[in-house]
Amino acid sequence: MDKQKGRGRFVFFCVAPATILFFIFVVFPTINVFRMSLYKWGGFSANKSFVGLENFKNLMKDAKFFQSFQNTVLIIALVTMVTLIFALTFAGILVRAKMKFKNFFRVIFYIPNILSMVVISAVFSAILDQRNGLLNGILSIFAGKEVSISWLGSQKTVIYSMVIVLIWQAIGYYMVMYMSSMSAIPESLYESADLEGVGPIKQFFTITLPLIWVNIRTTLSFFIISSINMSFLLVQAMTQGNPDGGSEVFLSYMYKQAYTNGSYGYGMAIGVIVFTFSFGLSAVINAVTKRDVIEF
Amino acid sequence: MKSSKTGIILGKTITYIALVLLALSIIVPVGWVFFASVKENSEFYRNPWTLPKGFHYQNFIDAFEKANMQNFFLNSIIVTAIALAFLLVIALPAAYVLSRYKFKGQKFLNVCFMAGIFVNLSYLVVPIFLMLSEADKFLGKTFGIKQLFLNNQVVLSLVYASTSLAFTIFLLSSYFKTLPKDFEEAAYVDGATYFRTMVSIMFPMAKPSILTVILFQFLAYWNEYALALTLMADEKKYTLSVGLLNLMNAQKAAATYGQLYAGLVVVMLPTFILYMLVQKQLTQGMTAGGVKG
Amino acid sequence: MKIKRVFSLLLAGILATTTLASCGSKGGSSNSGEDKNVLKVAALESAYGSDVWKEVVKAFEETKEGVKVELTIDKKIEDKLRPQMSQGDYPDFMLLSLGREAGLTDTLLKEGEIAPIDDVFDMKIPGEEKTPKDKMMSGFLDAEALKPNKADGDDAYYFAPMFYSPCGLYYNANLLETKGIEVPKTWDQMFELGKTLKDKEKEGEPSLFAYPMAGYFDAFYFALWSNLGGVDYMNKMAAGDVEAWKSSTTDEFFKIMGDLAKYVEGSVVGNANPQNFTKNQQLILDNKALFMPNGTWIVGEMSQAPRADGFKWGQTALPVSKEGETSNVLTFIENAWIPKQAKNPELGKEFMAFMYSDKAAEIFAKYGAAQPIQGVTAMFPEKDKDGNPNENITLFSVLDNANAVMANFTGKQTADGRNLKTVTCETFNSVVNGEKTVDQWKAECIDVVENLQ
Repeated sequence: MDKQKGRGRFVFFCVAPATILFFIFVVFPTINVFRMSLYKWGGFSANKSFVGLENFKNLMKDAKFFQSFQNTVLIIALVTMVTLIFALTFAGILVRAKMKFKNFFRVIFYIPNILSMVVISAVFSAILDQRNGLLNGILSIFAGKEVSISWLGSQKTVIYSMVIVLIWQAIGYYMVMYMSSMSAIPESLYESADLEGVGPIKQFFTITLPLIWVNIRTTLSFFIISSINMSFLLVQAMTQGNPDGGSEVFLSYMYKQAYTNGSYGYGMAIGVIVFTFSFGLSAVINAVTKRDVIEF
Repeated sequence: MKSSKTGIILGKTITYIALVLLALSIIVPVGWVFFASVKENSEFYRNPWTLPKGFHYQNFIDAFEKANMQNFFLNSIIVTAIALAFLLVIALPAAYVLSRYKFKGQKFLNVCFMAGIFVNLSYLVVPIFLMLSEADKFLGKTFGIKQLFLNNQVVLSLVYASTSLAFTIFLLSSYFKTLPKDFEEAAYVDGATYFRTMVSIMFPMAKPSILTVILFQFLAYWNEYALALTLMADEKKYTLSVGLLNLMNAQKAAATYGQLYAGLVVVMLPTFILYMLVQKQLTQGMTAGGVKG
Repeated sequence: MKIKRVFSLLLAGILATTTLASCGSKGGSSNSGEDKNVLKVAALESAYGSDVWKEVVKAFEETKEGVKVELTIDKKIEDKLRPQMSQGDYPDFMLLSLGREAGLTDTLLKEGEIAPIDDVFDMKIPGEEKTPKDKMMSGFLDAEALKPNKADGDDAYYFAPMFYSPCGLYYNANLLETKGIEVPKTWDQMFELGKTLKDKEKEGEPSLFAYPMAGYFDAFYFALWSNLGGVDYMNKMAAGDVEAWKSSTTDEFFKIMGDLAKYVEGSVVGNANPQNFTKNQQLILDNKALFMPNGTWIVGEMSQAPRADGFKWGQTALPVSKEGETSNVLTFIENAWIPKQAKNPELGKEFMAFMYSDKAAEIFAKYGAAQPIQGVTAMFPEKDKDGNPNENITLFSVLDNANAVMANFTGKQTADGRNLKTVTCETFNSVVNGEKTVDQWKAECIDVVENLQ
């Protein structure tokens, strides 16, 4: 009985501080975001007026909002697919294959993830430059003639340029994450597969992938959250939505509305949609990818 | 037999080429920033890929003296360190208990923290600011205390720690779940208290995961500027990234590119050092989602 | 029990450090401003630097004995002021223009938080006998941009004009001379020149036109609108008047812009963002493009950039429709204003009047900033800091043969998700890169105008 009481107390004091702070600094402000999305307010004066769902109704008619929505979805989809494939492949190679410099590659590939977006945007502005950019330079060598693509200058290319930057930034992070779970798979499974004459590529699909499936599922949610966040930081530092909204994403549009345009309530309505969207999308993906957990 | 051998060699060559290419795509840009930091201002126009004409280390002196970097640097260290301390002290016990104990309300809390991962800091900045400023006004009226919450580095650190609780608890919980139960049971048999078991047995075992959290959140706090800018109006308390932002906003005035890139290098170095220190543990620590063994 | 003690100690520790750290932070908002002799001045640190303000403040303190000025100056002044303002701590004098990215002035104006300042212009300038109205250059006080609430029937001044800068087209005077090109006077001549150059593009001829960022077009549009339909038409367009936007003059405007888009240098749009816009300005210095819209600050901004041999800045007014017409040059002014919630507005107003004193104007001129008072161009030093002839003297002379007009998107032309400045300026990028047609652009503008409150 006494032990039971001590256990309860222990649980309480471990969980209470985190819960309290979480409610003060995350839950409460989030509720406020939801509340403000029902108001019209510039951000400074005391003139707040309750408008109900009008902000959301206006959003449905806002072409620029849909452009940013579209861009965000495209970024999430492409970044997730490409990064996932590359990260899994490289992780599989670095964990399983007998190669030299494994550690070197592992250490290097993670570096983009520790750079601040300010550095990344400065570097990629130089790489994507139309005149003196590295990318056009390399393409010129392969094409045999001068390639002069304005990567940041057209709606068609700017969003793919951002996707490239975001993939570059993310590969190492997910690679290390997958390596982490791959190296937990017991060696004996691969040994018996070797004896049966199963090739390394088939091993990857029949042993490695199913066994780290739980981990892949979790990272899918990470992809959604970090694509939304990282694309915002990149837009802030590099293009600010140029040209003409071509690189506008969810949160950058929210910022513009809430601050530059003096429509704070409207901006918060966008915030509500971003939250609901990312949460909902993760839930859907989580449900779709549910498989029986394979244990070893 | 022979053909499969050439196949393997070919496969290996392709793999090496792919790996080297990706490595180059990382080394070249990062090296570029270091080169840029010793260029003179006039070298930043026209072609950005020329090598620096000389070693213009004056940029670093300017960054420190004119742009007040050493002050910002110190502020960043203070804020980041306190925030990390808060985070670990608060998140570790919570993650441990949430992942390894069953109690009433546990499911609810787990869902709450899970949902918290989806909350983006960028729309919380203003509500948090308004809340703290209201609290300051209230304290001013009732107790005559001037500004307790705003312009306070400890409060900024606490906000940092609180807003990253959800993700950290998730990461740590995933790791705790993978640890076998035997250790705790043995400890209880020996008569150790819950607290002792947690601190001296379980926490050390979670070291890789803890280091991962430290690296992740160090990067997040070190590079964060939206909150730091809003909650710290006093220039003496600017963090490094806010100070850097000030250097960048040189529109309609002659840009001091050299200083800016020197500043970027100064910001980058500590993250590099920390990364090199913990990179070995990183592969073990990032078991998000947990692989059941 | 032990655990409980640990945690209570911890909590106590947290509280203690919190209080300790806050002891160091002095100067809260609540009781500053009690002293009637403390003036709070906040100014944007722009191209003219921060020293200029320190000198002017010192001059004011010398003129008004016993007054102490608290100066806040920053390149991102909005971020500094926003937290203070939401706590009710407002400066007594602000220098921060409308139309900035952060939109602080625009938001406060929209919310009715800016005080009217009519009496300032009739006030005796501290240390002088004259009033600002006596000394002001002609036309400046007529600018509707200073009376942003006129459309609502409120004729009061809310902004004082500061630091005027003619925003015409900038070019390399030496290049035009050596090539024997005359500065085009009409749009026909302009486009003809553009065509000749484009035909010889392969031979390395420069393109006709470049721009730093689409946001720089506001000045260009105002000048063009006033040239096409007069100052009244310009004001209506700037205010988002539906009829003006649907008039035939507006069709003319879009036609000119559509033609101009054809002659924009190919890399401009890709660099038309805050990270890369200096590359577009570099096009002029490298003789890769002929003309660009800009302001007099360009000289200082690009002072360290490499340039073609013999490069010399020149400025011209926009071309006109028929030869012989006088062109208008949008003259950019920065806005000085007084927040409604200022604690010491009277002193703020005196400081505002002081901005038009000879003493202040001379200090400003030394740093390249021109106050709109008569005879100010004579205050520019003959040589600049490096001993070269002061280019400001040439650049400001563009107004000798053209009229100055003033206008602004006041920030009132916004609604949720809609912004007149954004749609007029940013969409031009899409016209240049072929993403949208001029007709689509026009339709978008009309849509915004029709939906403004």
